[in-house]
Order: sequence, then C-alpha cells, then structure tokens
Amino acid sequence: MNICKKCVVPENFPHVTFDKDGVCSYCQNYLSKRKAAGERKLFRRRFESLAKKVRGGGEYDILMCYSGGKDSTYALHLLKDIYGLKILAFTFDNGFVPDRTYINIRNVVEKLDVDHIFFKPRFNGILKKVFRTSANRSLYPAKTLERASTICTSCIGLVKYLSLKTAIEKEIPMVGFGWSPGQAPATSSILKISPIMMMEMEKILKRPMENIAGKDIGAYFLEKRHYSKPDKFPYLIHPLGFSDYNEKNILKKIKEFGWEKPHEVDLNATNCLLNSFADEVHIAKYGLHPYILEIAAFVRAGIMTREEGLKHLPVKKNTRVVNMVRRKLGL
Amino acid sequence: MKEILKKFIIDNYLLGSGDIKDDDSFLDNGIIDSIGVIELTNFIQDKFKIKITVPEIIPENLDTLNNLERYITRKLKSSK
Repeated sequence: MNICKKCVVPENFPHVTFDKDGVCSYCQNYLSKRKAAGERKLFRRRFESLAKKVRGGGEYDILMCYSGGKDSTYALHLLKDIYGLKILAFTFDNGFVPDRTYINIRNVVEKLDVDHIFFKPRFNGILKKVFRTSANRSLYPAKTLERASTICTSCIGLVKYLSLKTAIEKEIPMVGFGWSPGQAPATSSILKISPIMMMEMEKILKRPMENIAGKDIGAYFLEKRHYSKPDKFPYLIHPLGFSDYNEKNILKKIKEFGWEKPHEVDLNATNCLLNSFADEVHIAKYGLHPYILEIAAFVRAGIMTREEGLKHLPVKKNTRVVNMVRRKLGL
Repeated sequence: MKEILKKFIIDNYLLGSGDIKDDDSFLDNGIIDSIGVIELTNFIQDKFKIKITVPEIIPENLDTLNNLERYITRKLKSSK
C-alpha cells in the first residue's frame, strides 16, 4: 500500500488524494512550520490575556481533565507552574486505568499541589454496555472514525460532558484538556461555544449511548438547568495546542513529578489499557489505524520523524492486556 | 460566497475529494466537531471581515452551507 512520502497517511484513508510525487493532500494543505509557530505564539498570548482575566475570580480558575497520561500531566504542570492558575484536576476512571497510573496521578497532584477528584461511573450498568456496543457497532457519524475509534469517542465524550457539567456547577470559567497538537491545532486551542451549539453536539453522542445504557446515561451529560446558564459556560482550553511540544522534554519534565510510564500500555497511550483493544477493533473493521491523523500531524510539524511515525502505527499489542479487556467486557 | 465556504469545508474537512450538499448538516454528518466549529468561525471572520460573537455560534447560522451563506450575508449587510 502507498503511504504519503512526507507523512504517514496511507492511500486507503478516506478522501485523501496524492500528487505525482506521492505527497498526500494533508501535506499539500499544511501551512508550514513557521506559520504554525506564529499561530502558537498568537494563541499563547490570547490565553495569557484570558488567564489574567479569570485568575482569582472564584474557587478555581480551571478544571483540568487529568487522565494521568503524559500529555495531560504536562498540561497540568504548564497551567500550574507557568500560568499560575488555581486548578481542580478531574480524572475519569473508565475501568481500564493501569495500577501505575493511579500512582502517577497521586504523585503528580501532590507534587504540583493541586486539588483533585476522581469520577468513576458504575462499570457493569454503564461503561461495560457502552464499550461493548462501541466495539461491535459504529455509533457516531462516519467522519468521527477518521479521528478516533468508536470506543475512544464514547469514552472521551463522557469525559467532555462530565467535566463541562462539573465546571458549570462549580462556576469554573475554563476547562482544560491535554490534547496533543496532533489532535487539536493551535487555532482551536481556546474555544468558547454557545450552549445551543453545544447541545446539538451533545445529542450526537448522547442519543446512541442512551439507546445502549438507558436514561441513566443522562447523569453524565448536561441537563436543562446547565443550558439555562449560558453565562456560566466555560472556555475550553487545549494548552498543548499553543505550547512548544517536544515529547522527550515532556517525559524529562514529568519524571521530576514522579511520573513513570506504565509497562502494560502501548506506544500511543500512556494511561489506558483499553487503547490497544480499541485500535485492534478499529483496524479490523475499517483497515485504518485510528491514530493516523495524529501521528501524521506530528510528522508534518517535525515533532517526530516519518520513520518514528511509522513505528507508532502497527498495533503492538500486549496480548495479556487485550485478553483481560475482552474478559472484562464479556466479549 | 457559497463556493468559498464549500471549498473551505471540502479542503479542510473532506480533504478535497468529498462532496457536500447545500443543506447537509455539518454536525449530523460528523463533518465538524467543537474544534472544527471554531476553525470555521476563525476562517469566516478572517475571510469576510466580520465579528462572530459566541451567542451567534448556533446551528441556525453555521450548520449548513445555506445557513452560513444567509448568516454571513445578514452580517455583512448590518455592518454597512
């Protein structure tokens, strides 16, 4: 199979085209590293200005979605040590958090001295049903499959709306996510979306999950009372989108906080045992690795070489972990 | 105007070779998500020199090519 000569996008990726030199349409549309750096600088300034405005206005300045992975750990450090924000860290436990990640989370929040809460939805009644069905069926619009596996989209959807709900209830003006620059570019690193638009986006995720798990799924999404407070809707912030991202430097920095990579996880996840299984299911169904776009964006931005990128794409699964996932999901 | 918008959507979210009808919903078809919405509003503000406020980021204004065209036309008229 042909793969883009500059990045890692393969010829079977939906809607991609190649020029005569074997370069994909994503690379042809790419701004340039210099322009991308300019955008990061612009959005960094915008964030500094926003942080100055909200700092100290309430109990917390930002609710940070903290998975315990390397990216959200680094984002937590930036928000605390560089921007001086008062943070409530929020971890969603999907039932597949490695033991080492719990230790990492404890070490990091203690070292950075931030408040932290865990949220663990009931597994058998909710998460097992959602993940099992996500493994067997496509639940969301086809375009979402280019960005992530259905399992990951379900999981992240729950994280997103639960964190938003918590921030609105606690009147926290910003919600932070640890998306890498490959997942969210600088131009989208500071988002403010109207409640009406958010409600339409929420329906796309909530309806299929409601069909699977019943009305109880409503506890993890926004309700009318949240939408009736448009002035309390927070900014959504992706700090890594406007930061200079260097994986080696990130790993070196977070090691200072007592963070270690769990040994059971794959190359693309540093905090979730479900990931390899989700990738395997996605590849079997669609013939595409769900991390292609993120890795390709890393290669284009010079964050990793093409050779390094290609190493990330085969699923190097830990069979013991994948079998554990299958057993836990009853598959 | 619609052709400019259509080209932006196709180039950025359908990568050149997909197609989109004037009344196709961007949200229902999963073409854009929250990140895509902001990229789209940034593009419109730069291209058409209009200011989009948060309360205006609603499906009635932004969710289809026809809605976008109507919304931008209205904004341009009111800014004269």
